[in-house]
Amino acid sequence: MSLNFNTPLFEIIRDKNKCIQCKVCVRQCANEVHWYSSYENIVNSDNNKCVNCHRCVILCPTKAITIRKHRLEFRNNSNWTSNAIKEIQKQADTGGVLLSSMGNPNKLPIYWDKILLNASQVTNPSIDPLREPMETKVMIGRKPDKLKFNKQGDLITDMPPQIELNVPIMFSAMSYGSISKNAHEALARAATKLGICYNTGEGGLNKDFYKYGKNTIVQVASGRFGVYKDYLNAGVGIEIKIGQGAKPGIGGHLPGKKVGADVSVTRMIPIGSDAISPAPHHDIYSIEDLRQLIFALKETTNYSKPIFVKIAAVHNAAAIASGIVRAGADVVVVDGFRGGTGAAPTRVRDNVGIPIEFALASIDQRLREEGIRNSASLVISGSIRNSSDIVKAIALGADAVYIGSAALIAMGCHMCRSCSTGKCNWGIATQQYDLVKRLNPDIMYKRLVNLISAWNHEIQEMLGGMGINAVDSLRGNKLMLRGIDLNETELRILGIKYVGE
Amino acid sequence: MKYLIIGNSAAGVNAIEAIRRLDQQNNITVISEENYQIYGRPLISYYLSGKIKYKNMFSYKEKDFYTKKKANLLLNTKVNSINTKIKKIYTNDNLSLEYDKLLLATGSLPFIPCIKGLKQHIDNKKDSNVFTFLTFEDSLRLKNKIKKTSKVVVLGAGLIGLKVVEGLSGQVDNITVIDLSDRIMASVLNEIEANMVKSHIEKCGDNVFFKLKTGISEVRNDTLLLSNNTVIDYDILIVSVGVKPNVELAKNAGLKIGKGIIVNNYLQTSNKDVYAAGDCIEYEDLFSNNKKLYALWTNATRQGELAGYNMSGIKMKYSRYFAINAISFFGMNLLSAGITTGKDIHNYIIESSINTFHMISILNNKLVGFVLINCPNKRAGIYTTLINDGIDISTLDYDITTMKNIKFSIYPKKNRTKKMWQGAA
Amino acid sequence: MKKIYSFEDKCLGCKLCEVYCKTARSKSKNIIKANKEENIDSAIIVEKTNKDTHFALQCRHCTDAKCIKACISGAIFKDEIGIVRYDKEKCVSCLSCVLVCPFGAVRKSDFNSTVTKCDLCFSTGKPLCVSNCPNDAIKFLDEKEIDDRMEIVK
Repeated sequence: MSLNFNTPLFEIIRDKNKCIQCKVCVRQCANEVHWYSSYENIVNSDNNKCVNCHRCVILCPTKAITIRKHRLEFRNNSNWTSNAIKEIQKQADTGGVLLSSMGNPNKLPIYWDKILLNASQVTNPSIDPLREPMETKVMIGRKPDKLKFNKQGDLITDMPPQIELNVPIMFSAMSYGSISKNAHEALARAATKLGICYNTGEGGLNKDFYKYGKNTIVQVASGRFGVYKDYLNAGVGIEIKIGQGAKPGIGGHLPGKKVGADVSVTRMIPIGSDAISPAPHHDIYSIEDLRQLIFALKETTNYSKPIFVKIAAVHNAAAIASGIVRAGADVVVVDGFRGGTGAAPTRVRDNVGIPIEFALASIDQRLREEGIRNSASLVISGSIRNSSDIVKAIALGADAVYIGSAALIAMGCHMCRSCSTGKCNWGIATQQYDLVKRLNPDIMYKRLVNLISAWNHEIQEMLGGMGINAVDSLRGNKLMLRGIDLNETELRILGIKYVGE
Repeated sequence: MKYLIIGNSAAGVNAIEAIRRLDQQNNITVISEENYQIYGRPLISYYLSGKIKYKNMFSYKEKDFYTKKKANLLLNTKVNSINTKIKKIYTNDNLSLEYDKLLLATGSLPFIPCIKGLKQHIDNKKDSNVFTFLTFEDSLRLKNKIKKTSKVVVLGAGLIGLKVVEGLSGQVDNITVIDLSDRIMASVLNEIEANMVKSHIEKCGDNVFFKLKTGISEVRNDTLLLSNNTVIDYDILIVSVGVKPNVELAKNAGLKIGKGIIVNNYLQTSNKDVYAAGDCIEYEDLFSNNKKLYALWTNATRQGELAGYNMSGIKMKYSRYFAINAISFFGMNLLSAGITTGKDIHNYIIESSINTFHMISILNNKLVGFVLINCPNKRAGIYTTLINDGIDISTLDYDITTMKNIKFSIYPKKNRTKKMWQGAA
Repeated sequence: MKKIYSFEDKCLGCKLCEVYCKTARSKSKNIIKANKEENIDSAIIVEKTNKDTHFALQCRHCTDAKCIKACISGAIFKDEIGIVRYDKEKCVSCLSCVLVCPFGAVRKSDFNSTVTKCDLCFSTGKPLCVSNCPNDAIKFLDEKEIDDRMEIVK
């Protein structure tokens, strides 16, 4: 069939005066957008193939390349947008489910931006973190109801296992398979250097990375890939993944072509076989079932590691979280509807789930009301973009946050949202050897360390401005927040006052 | 300790450098028959053509080389004899010098064939129109002598003869090259290659003619009687049939002589305090195990250096050598090394056209030789190193017998990384 | 002495080093002019292997440099630091150096009768290829630093 409705999304503009025909773009584009014509001695490009990942733009030594949104337009229509039309054309062409990568890109409210922070003036002096101590360390895990001390003042309560984080940030679960080994190495090394944790995701743990165990949280998800005793004991915590913000209620699918020898060994599946994570855990149909898995894992690890349970932020997240805590989880992880993914059905990604801000506030409130907030730490994720998002999350009740997309961006991701093609030009979401190489862990782990260190500085500045000298003193301190451009219901659920109040 | 070096070219000067690396104290004396500081001997044909100017003739080492190296240089001095018993040498100026370690780097002399009348014409140095071509002095004299109208005859179509042709082309009326062999550069090239080079020289040279399979029966004042009984005129005759090692001094001193001065693996002669290096020695050929003579600059520099080290107390073995040649005639490059003919040698012609030729020779899974004509951009040194190191080509990542552009990635990963990181030792 | 070292596992084969090498060796030092208008050879060579990997290679500035031994005119020499340098004014284009370089890193120019070899950007002390490698696949390291890493290839 020759009829093809595909039109380019982007337009590559090459400055002929600047192009030196060095062909770096030709060699670097895994999508084969650029090609050299020796007859004319010029480099040409095929707009149709471009995903706008900026690899060529960044590597072009003379900065001769610009990529712009393609000028081709449909007749103006606020309802039948060009995106809506193109999606229909695509499905009419393929008959398939639309797939998308990374988080929900749609224009939905970002509540972080509608929350403003407080600062001290006159009465409660602000603190300069450069001159005075400022604690950003947090302990993740169940806290006892009461603390008992002996006469000497030593703690005699048996403390449940805790994970110490120097900064209330962790790298969220991204499996080896969905991202490359080099990306994992960069995350693991950065977490080690920073004194925080990264999460293996549901792909097992490569033997080379067991050495980063003190900074690793291993994940157990519905596919149970790579799960065995050594793996469970390799990290400092275990996360049971029930759901993911980008695709609540949906499982996962790593195509066989990404299952090479190394991934195969790590996941414990045959080379080239599709790795399918079912939508539910087939052994979990109730809170009681979940409790069984939690305690099975605790038994396996001799009650030495906190057990995380991760869910997507959905409508009745607060009640579910309560059940999770009662099932014995030490950490509840909630992933908002903007959370990223390697691949998810577009409709699910863009229409299922709720904003993390609301899920967080309501879960924190519910656990407090039930008197079990101390029984578990609350970690949130789903598009944390900067340090002020983190400060706001902590004031809304979070103990720490997971970052995924932000970490990938630090490693070179340009949010072209083409992860599912497996041809990530930045060496992140790919298993192709020549592309994986492009992510040099020596360089990228330093960039991750830079990012988290910078955010840590900013967190300290904002805390100091509020007259607070420890992250722990901010947690759930909603008086430090005010809403703007929010209605009464939104304010009520978030538990914050309007600006000026 | 007194070091004495006879000869001031490639081997001699590299010996000075090597000695000074290990010994900054003791006396070094260098004696040269010539009147110049070190110069790149192969440059003399470039001087003849004008490509190299007088001042650039001496750029091989900086002017103050000898002072810097604290070496006492005696120019214009001929050593008449050596007394190895009392470790003394005697010069033509009645000078006698003592030594503790002596290096003979006396190089080679032009080979003068037995042709009637030739010897007296050459001996008659000053006004003679018969030349040899080995020293800068020869080049200066020849350059002075030639006129636009000169008819030049070059006896010997070897490397030196042909470089003279290139150097003179355009400056004289015509040049005739005479050689007994059926092809030019017979010791280096086979028939195909020789023809390629020959036609290039005929094409690019100005009135250059070849008379092969021809000899000279008699040298007369202005004419030559050829072996085919024809007589040709000449204004200038250049005798360039080859070189022979300059061993007279060594022989008279009672040192063992074969084809050249005999040395052991440490470049020691039959007398333990006398070393020899460069064109004057014979050494073992990498392939045949036979003693051979190779008058080659590169080998001489290396031997000089090794001799220097051994003289100053560090024992360093010298490896076996093979012929390597980098020659250009009128812009045509000829790079070759090793051997290309012999029992069981397989030749692989990789590229061949009217004026390019790329051939490698394999014996028992090892590269033993190659010829590259007009393929200047090939990385020939990789071939040379394969020959030198005796690498089994089946251990390489590529089949070099079909490889158009030899590259370093022929070596397996571990080897190449190691080699690259270490550099050549 | 500091030399440029190549790390094959990191090399992308993008050949940016060649672009910058040409720039460094140009008269104008302007990347566009150097690569478009001036005829310049790159002294660094990116090689592809049979495993589809790449590595960059340039003069190794050998301790015992064969090219210096072979040079008949003194055009190739070692400077005080140990950098093997080339003076085209003295060169007679005999290609003896090309014939002996074990790495094939001394090459005849594509454009003229000179030879091309890396001089480690000695005039600035900062090789442009290294500072512009996007993946740290070539590094300017002291020989001693590399000795420690030799273990990897042993």
